[in-house]
Amino acid sequence: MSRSVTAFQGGHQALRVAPGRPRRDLHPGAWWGWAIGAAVVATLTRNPLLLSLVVAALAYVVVARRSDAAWARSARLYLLLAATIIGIRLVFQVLVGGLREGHVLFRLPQIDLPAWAAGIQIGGPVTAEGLWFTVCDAGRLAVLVWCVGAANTLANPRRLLRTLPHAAHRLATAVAIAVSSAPQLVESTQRVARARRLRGGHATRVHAVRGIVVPVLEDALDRSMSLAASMESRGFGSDHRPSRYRAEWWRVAESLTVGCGAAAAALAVWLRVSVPVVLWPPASPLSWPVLDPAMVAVAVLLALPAVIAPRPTEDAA
Amino acid sequence: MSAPESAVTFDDVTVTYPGRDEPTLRHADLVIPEGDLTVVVGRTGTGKSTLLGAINGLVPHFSGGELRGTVVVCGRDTRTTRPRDLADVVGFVPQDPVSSFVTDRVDDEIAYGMEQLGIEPRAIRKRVEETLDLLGIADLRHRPLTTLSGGQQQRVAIAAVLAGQPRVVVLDEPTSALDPTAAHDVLAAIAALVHDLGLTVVLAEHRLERVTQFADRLVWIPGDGRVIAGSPEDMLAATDVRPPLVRLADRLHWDRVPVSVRAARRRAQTERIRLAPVATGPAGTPGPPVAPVVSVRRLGVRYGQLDALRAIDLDLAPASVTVVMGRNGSGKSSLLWALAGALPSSGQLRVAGVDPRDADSDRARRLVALVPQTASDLLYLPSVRAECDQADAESSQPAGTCVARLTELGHSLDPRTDPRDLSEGQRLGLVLAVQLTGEPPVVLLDEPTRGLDYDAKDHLAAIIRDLRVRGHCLVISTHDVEFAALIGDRVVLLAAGEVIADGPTREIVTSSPAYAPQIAKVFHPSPVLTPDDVLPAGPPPRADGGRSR
Repeated sequence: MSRSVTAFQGGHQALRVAPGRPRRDLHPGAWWGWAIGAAVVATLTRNPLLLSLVVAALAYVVVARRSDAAWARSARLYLLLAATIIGIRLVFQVLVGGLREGHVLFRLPQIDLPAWAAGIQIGGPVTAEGLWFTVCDAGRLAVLVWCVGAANTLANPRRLLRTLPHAAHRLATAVAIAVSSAPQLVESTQRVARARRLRGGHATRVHAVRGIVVPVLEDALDRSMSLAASMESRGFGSDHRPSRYRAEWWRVAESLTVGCGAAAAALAVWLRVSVPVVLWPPASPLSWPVLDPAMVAVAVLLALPAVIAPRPTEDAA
Repeated sequence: MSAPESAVTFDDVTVTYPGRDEPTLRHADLVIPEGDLTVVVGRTGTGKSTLLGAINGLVPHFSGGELRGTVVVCGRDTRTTRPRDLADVVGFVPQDPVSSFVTDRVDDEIAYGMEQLGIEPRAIRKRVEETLDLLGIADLRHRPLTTLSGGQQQRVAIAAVLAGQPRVVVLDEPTSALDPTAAHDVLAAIAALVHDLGLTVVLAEHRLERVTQFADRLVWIPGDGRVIAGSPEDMLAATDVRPPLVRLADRLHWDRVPVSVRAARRRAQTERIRLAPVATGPAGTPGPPVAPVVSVRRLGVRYGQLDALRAIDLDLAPASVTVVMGRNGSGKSSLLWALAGALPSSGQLRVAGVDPRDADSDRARRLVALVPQTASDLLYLPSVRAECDQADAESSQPAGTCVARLTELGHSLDPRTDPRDLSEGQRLGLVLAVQLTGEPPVVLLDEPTRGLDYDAKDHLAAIIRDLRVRGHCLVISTHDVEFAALIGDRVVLLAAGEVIADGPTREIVTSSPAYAPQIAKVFHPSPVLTPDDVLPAGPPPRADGGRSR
């Protein structure tokens, strides 16, 4: 939408207005550069406050700048995966974890293993320190997963593939088929699962799974074949050197976005070197993590692209 | 340049697929002149897709099988040229546009083919715009493909192929998923391209009534491997594919088959055609009031922000056939799924006194059966017998019930057959038998005629009439106005999730320009629905066939 000129200045209509900021998609590489900066921060710290700030900053940008396209709706899945990682690590810590010192919350029956399995302990005391350390440590991996998720949600995977050199073109297109089949798979799974209910509930578990998997896979195979046929008949892989319809622009916003990621990473490195205890609090004794002003600055830097980046182009519906 | 050049030439072409004893095409000779619109007709499984695929080399390069003889397209032999190297002269639009989309935005999709041909980016941008205008979809330029309606998607698929400026465009059933209005728009757009750009178009179509008026030539594939081409008039009289106008010509003993509604109307006007009594009587005689088997009050379905159905009130009688029609996305499928209690909905719903939303799935299955649009979604076992046994178990019926239903439906299938190897009609029959095993009083069919040829449709119509006689309440959603005219007692028209018309088929359908079947258009304003409603010109010259009564 263009901005309408309505302001009057001393009876004269203002004919010269600032150019409206056009919608455009940020170069996918810029989103990935920014996300890598956030990932560097995550690897440098075990401080749960900073990890939470990074998650929040990325989430803010995702909400502000994602498009309506199918691939942009996957953010929730990545968050779920991240939470699952923390959950699984906690279960392992409770059952076979090595950190058993400190404030005991409860005790599991301990199983003594033969000598050849020395070093592995099943059961035993479950301590607050052990659980807290696990949450913080698994949190780093979870935040890394979220960084990938945020980049994937903001950057159109097909456009990223287009920016690859010509030599990788065929590989890129193969990946494009895989990328396009993922949302289709979700859609046909939902459709078939819905249809399954029409056949009544007598199905055993094996039948129920089979009833969904068989039609979905058939559907996926059919679709992939017709996509391949379509690409073949539209000239994919012919001797022509393919051209590009939409050039990927690298402008100031791209540089600033990557710059924010890089600055956040640099600040985190500085913090890690100058005050290591802030980013890497000891597992024991149990203590409330420190909130350093520099950590807030890291989060603000990571959140800035929500303002710097232009709004995406999808004007759906 | 020699005068009428041929765009495509088949010279003694025989195509045999592996594992088949009989060739699909046998010694086929065919010349498709440049600038013609050629329509390929034939029953399901006779080789229409094989013929279309052979034009751009997908057969045999992609499909496998053996092709003997030569196919020459714009001077190139498909034996030595792969489909990708024919892309600059032949455009191919497959049946399902969605599965052929390579990108996710309209303009990217249109540009894709040109990118593959190595066309310069500036030229691509210009041609994208031109093509968008050509098909009247310029406002969709930046839309994600998944948000488009079926008709829009089909136009984008056609635009994506046209943008590369091929000389021949091949379309496999371009209107099979479209509502009557969208189908007419797409076909008119194609016809305009033939006229304006001199494009050569070859298209396959089941619902012949939609295309004969645009066709320069018909190619008939009878099913024994032969390929026969000729003018629409000659071919319509000869083929076993029988659109309504052919049936009308038969009924009235006309020597020539009219190819368009207009031609038929002119001929009908010159003759004194009598209307059968049913067409002249008061439209739809209401029987004694019966307690409805389905009763719906203020039924609503909502997907996120979108109201798919708003406050629908409906009463459906036992032993009746109700046809639900409307544009793509008007809420037809949502209505059927909501009636089956298989979709979250608001409002009141009673099927035989029970709300199927509260019933467990076993009970719901014995109340109301739904055959979804993609009927094969319900099939997952390796043989017809296994599916039938499973259906008996699911419906708590004695073994053999489902097989018996299948036989009643007129399908004698080898119980060892894999359901995937069945024809569309047979697969629909199997799913119907599976769903009818629980003897539900209400049967819902979502777009059952998709992909069915005239014979299979006649068979389905007979099944539906039989179910109606046995007291089932049937609700059928369809885009096929001819089929609706054939079977419907009552028509419910939906638009944007609301009922905009509801009444006897004859009344609703003959008064709507978009949903009128061909015969109704010929005899408008007389309420004629099918060829059975008219009688050949007879001796007593009663003015206007007694329509004034």
